[in-house]
Amino acid sequence: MIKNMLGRSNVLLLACAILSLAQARGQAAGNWPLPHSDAEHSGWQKAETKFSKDTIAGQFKFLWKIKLERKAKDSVAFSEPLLAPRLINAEGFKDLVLWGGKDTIYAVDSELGTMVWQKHFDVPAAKGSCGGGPLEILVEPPRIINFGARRAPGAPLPPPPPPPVAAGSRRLGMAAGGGGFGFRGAYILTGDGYLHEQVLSTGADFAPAVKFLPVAGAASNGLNFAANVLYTATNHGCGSAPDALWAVDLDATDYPVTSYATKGVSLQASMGPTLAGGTAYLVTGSGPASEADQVYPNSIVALSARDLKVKDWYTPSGDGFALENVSPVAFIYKQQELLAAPGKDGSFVLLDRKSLGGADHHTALFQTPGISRTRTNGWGGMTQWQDADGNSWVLASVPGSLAAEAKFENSNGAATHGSIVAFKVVEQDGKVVLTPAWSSRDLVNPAPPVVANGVVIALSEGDKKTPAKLYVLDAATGKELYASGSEITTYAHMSGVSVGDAHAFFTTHDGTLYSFGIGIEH
Amino acid sequence: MRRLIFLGLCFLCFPWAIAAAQSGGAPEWTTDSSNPQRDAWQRKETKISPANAGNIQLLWKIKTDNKTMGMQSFREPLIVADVHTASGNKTLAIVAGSADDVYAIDADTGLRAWQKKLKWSAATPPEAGEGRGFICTNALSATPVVTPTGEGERFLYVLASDGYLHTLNVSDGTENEAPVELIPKPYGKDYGLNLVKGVLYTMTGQGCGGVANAVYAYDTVSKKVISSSPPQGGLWGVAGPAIGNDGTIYVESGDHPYDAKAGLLSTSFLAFTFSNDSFALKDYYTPSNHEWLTKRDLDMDTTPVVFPYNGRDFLVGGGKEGRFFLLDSRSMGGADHETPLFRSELISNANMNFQTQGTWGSLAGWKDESGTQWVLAPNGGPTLVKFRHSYGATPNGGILAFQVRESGGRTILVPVWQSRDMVTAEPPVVANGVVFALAGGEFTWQTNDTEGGLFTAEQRIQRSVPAKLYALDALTGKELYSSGNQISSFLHQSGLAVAGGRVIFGTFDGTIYCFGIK
Repeated sequence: MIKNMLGRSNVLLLACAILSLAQARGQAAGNWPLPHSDAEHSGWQKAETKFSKDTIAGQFKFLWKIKLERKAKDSVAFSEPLLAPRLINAEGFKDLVLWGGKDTIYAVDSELGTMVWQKHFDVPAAKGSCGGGPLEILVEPPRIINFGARRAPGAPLPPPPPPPVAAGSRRLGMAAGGGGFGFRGAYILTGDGYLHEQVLSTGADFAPAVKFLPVAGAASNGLNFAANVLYTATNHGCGSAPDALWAVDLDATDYPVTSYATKGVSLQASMGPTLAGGTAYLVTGSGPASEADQVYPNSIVALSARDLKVKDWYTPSGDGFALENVSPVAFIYKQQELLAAPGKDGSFVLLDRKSLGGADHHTALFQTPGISRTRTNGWGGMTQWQDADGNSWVLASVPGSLAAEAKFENSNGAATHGSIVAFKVVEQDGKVVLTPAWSSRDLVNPAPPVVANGVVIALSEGDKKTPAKLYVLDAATGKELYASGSEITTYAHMSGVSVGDAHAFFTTHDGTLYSFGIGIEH
Repeated sequence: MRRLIFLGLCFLCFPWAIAAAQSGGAPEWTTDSSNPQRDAWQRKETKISPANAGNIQLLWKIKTDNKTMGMQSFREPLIVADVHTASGNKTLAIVAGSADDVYAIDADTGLRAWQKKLKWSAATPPEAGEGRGFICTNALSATPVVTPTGEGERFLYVLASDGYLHTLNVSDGTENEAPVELIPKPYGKDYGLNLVKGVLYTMTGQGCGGVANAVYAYDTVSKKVISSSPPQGGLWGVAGPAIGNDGTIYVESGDHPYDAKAGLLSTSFLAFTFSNDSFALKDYYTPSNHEWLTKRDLDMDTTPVVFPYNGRDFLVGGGKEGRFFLLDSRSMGGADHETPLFRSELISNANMNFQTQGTWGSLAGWKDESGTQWVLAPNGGPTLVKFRHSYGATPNGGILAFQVRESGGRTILVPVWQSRDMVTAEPPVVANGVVFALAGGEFTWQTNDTEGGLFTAEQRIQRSVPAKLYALDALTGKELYSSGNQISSFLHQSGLAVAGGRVIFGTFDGTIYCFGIK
């Protein structure tokens, strides 16, 4: 049922990833290089300092919007603006917010809301139900440049940075050279299966494109990147591409591609796989199981990075359920490597990444009661953060009403359409559990929550009758600190929120990019 | 009673004594931008005027053995009159070079009078090479200063690249005393020396050599060295601190975290007093958009110009943003330190590009015969406002001229003229109704959009073009003279000196030029 429903939706024409070249992955202020912040999908802007529950009131506001392209067809394709600050080009320093349209990448000045560059890809549109949809993007994390660092006299000269690589010698995946201000790259996966690379500061071509996906017209569901390997998932049978997770190794000059095909089992991977510790985690939907092919429907599957071999899996016990399209989050709690993921019947589970389902593959570390009522066409994501007192939290977007048995310490009102829920990760009787902390006010199609310095940025995406609204909530209680007014004029659809440098960004279904936050005088 | 009246009159006159001391004797250029107020106004020029500026010609040029350091070559020349040399009284053009060489040239003949290599004095041995990049080099970077006429025995003070101050006899370049450590570490990128009442001032920018960015003072009598505290962002501009008629020291500060309570005042105008061997912060002005300026590296980077106005000092400065600020020395930023007398609209740099399109260096100020105060500034790109007089498109920038006027109860800067296009205009000089401007020819772009990274100093040198000297009508900006193709090289963050009908400057290839009227 879920697969048929998804098949009726518009499928991506172009699946694009702006991808990281550099190995360094610090999170500088304003940096949001991957969907939901990082490869682990934490949804946590660790570097934020301006947002806090004390500064939101009176300061957080609508800043600007820019129409990027004509109205896009709603699709199953998730999209999220990504942030690349402190770039430098011939026009000076730039802080960019990037978003993928149907066939164009847009780079907008994140302070001013003005276009800096855009890159169009001439790829024939896919036909039928797979046509049209936003691009998925990843950007290279910034190099950390210590502008204040100076060499003391007498100290030996540091080795000079490698010079920029000549244009004719460049290839995808290689370091660009040129020191701290050298090119940072962006990978774009176009609908013909080719992987392109653009210079992040200018949009110029960096190196010749290479073949990634074997078929054209595939619908890419989210992208991720770690250790110079790029991952994407294809779904819905578009362009004859199987439902599969794909990986391309950018370190090798022949760019070997590996895949894990799920033989007709759908992939619940809106943001792409969750990556942590050399492992890719996927949520699978309904379909036929196959032990021989190591295909596990309605499961959390762990695959080795790079060669995509099944390492482990967790399948809830019982029959007659379907895991929801909720992206899991990987994190560490007191040296334990954990994964928070959707469980059956609207619950959430904590899994030990060293043994996802225990010896029998059916045993989670912990399972909450049913929190949400399963909703068709829903999608969501989980978020993890740690507060200043060292408490670990897990949040999740709930696309439907709360289940009757879902009880929270703080309830911020009836939530008949959807909500954000928050749990504390605690140890009880020697076990790690999720204790329900708060549920938010009512949200219509909530986007996966984002956390920054003790506040939650929550986008109520709305629907065809209801415009989107942006909320800021106290991350400790769910209390509403801010609600947008009439600034957002239409709904959003499968749009994630990015946060950086006291700004929050998202798009609405008509291709308009919005910025809210605490502005500065220009 | 008569004694009281006499003393009272002296008290009133005293703040202007500095300017008065400069008004007697032959025309000279004894410090960067002419005087401690950095107004670049040669008040004693009589030979060159708008009427005959068209007859300016190359009088002489001399090729030296100056060794460049990165993009650094010569500092702004000094011109000292009535120097008793072994071969008679001469007017000397004194030019400090980047490798710690000082050249003294007979300003009449273009012949070398003397040349001095400043010996390394720091305990830390000198580094091989020119330094890394174009920000921190191993160059001598501060324009020297000569004791103004009437302030006692005259010496030439030169701050070498090792941070040691040399006191030289002007006549022959011999050391009058042992060098003194003024900057605590070598290669500190100090800026133009200023000298008022026996105290030398400089400041350092950009933390080069591990040197804290501060204002430094050296008392030539007590021999004490004092620095301001706390350290700031880079202190600018290239001409060094400006000193008001009341002795207040003015600098602009560059990028750095801002915390007014902790005294960290980045992207600001700062005013210090110096007394009893210590600096005290007197006042400051911080633009209200300083956070934006820091974010996009559009910080304040000029030496402000100070001039008397309505019985007190006013100052005008600017920076990479492309705006200009008129400040009242009585209260530079008002009670909140964010309210200047006048903040211009964006004059240039619509692209908010830190690299070239704002204003760098220093400004000039002069008063015309009608008593109208003018302020001139170099800028590096197209302007956004209309000037009454302009001379074609200025994709590379040029010289901008403003008048200080009263309007609606406010004192404001009014754009009057904009010069012809110039490739990297250096700070202008005004003399007898003529504005002298050097289109330095330097390639100032930093970002290599084609290959990535930043241009190296070598790449910028290769892309620079020869400089041109212009003479403009100071009231209208109309071009009176151009040197054409007579200059064979560019110059980087340097300037020109004007005195006695001579216009002197040095270029990257080690040549010192003198233009003027015979």
